[in-house]
Amino acid sequence: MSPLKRFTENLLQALVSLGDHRLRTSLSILGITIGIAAVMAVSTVSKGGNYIVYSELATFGLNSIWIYRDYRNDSPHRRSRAGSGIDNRDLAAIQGQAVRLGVSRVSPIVRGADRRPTIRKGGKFASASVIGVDSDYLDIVNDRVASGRKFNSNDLETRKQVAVVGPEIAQKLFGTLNLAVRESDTTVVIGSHRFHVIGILAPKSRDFLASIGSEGGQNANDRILIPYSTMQKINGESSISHLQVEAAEFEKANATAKALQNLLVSRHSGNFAYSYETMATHIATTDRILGGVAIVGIVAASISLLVGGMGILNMMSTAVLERTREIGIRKAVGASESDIQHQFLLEAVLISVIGGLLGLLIGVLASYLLARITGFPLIPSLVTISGALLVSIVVGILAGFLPARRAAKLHPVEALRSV
Amino acid sequence: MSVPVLKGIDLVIGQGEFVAIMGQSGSGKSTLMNVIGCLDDFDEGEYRFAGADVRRLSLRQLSDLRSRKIGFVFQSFNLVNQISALRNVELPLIYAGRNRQMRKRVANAMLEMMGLGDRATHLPSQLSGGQQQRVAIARALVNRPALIVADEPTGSLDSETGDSIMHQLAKVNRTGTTILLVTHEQTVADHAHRIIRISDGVVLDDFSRHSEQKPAGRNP
Ligand SMILES: Nc1ncnc2c1ncn2[C@@H]1O[C@H](COP(=O)(O)OP(=O)(O)O)[C@@H](O)[C@H]1O
Ligand SMILES: [Mg+2]
Repeated sequence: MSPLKRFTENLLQALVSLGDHRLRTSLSILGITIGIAAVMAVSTVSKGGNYIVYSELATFGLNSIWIYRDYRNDSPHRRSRAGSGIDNRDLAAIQGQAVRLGVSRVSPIVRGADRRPTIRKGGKFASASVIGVDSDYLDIVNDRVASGRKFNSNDLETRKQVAVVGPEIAQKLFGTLNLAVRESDTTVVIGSHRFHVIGILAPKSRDFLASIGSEGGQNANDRILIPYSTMQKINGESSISHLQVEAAEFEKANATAKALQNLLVSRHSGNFAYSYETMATHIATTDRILGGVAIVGIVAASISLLVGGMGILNMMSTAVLERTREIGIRKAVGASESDIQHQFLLEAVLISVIGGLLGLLIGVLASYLLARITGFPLIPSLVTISGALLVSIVVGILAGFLPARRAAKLHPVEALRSV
Repeated sequence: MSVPVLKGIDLVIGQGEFVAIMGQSGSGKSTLMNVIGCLDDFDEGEYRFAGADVRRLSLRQLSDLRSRKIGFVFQSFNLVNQISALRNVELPLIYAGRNRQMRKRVANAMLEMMGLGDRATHLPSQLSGGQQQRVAIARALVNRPALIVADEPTGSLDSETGDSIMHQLAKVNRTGTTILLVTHEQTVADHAHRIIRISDGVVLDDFSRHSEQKPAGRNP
């Protein structure tokens, strides 16, 4: 008989035996179902967590590099100089060799003397962090203007007193997220300067980062952006607080940062030291943490799978004891050791695969539901699905192997003697 | 501790014989039958089945032999309780690797022959003792084995039913199948052509009642 036919026959025998012990079989199936569903649940929840964390990190720009003067690391052999160590000529130099440096966008960040000035509109007041940026800034940090417009080159060149404000500010000052049509309605006073609000930013969520106490979690929606040239005009000097750069390639972000650092050091003849931070580094750390959490979760869920496997082991051991005589009969009429072993092994694998499929079904349905509710991309991948199936087959084989072997090795005469 | 059950048994059983083995309970009849049926192993001596040295056969070859060449009938029927009469009869065909259509056809025909054509789908528990034993005989015959080994096949049946079972076996024997039968009832043994008495693992006597049978065939 061909191996496939033999397999089919033993499968049928296994099905008959399972059908004969429905309650016991269903309980063992349930054990695996719970185990697989638990593993899927953990993987979906961890996927959801990853998605939240990454979408919040993306609000800073995943390819972002921050480069700034490092006051602590000034050369000890020179007298410390004043200044931020970055000026408009540096900006132009970087823009001029962007391709060589691996830079796709760059924006200066210019702070005012007062970092959180009071904003006034008629009798309404708010406080917000105000920074001067280039028009590229919004693209670097994935900001969208929900109403109105971004800065244009004219705003920057003519140092216009225009502002793009976060939704919280707009709500507080205008009572709406839609920009009023008449310009007079959009005039606000920032500190002591009048600005026209030309755009309102789409809301950004950094709730998770805020909830874990990260500094980056603050000020997601109460920011005010103005042209950096305007801020420099107000400051009365052309220095740049720091640069925010978008690396052309995520994988090369740290190399790009290093190149920028070298460029600045040499442009300023070693007078200043510079430091940088990259999102890539933060993401690597985040990946390690999230990966660790996911592994802990998967291990915890796997324990329920292990218990499910024990259920099968227990059931099969009982079955072999109860069916000793049947095994003797089968051997007497010509079953070989491998026939018996396959039959029992298949019973175990059938249980675990049926349980696995049910668990998978529950897991997939649940993640579809969750994906619909949250809008997160939580649909399990084919790799996850086939992995879960593979795991349930392996659990079945492991749980069924010893009982099946014991059944196969039974001496026919002794087996027939049992009651 | 091991106690020898069979001692110095020297038998030749020819093809087509109908042999009854008699002896007291515990004399080793079942042990002998199991050895002859290639179901049990033995410590010493030699046993050849159709020319093959059984001790040299692999487990696989032994199970093959059991499924194709030997049919067992037991005192306690030994049907698999969870499956129908038909499935029980199919078992040796399954293990011999026959295809499904052939199996169904042959198993049904065999049940028909045993007068159980209308009971194919019944579970063993839904059949009487005599019917169960006839299912067992159908199962033993289904691969057209060379040898039927029947260990007290009538032991659990009333004498009338037992008698009909014996007639069935006699009929099977007339088609050329060797039959080896254990019994301690003389009336049952009388169906056989040759009676071997054993006691305490040794052959007491061995005689043939029908001169036309030649007990001195080479091998079973
Ligand atoms: N499982 C066993 N363990 C030990 N001795 C056994 C076992 N089965 C049978 N015997 C012994 O083998 C001898 C022969 O048994 P058996 O072949 O069943 O006899 P019979 O079928 O003639 O009644 C008996 O003396 C019995 O005690
Ligand atoms: Mg006996």
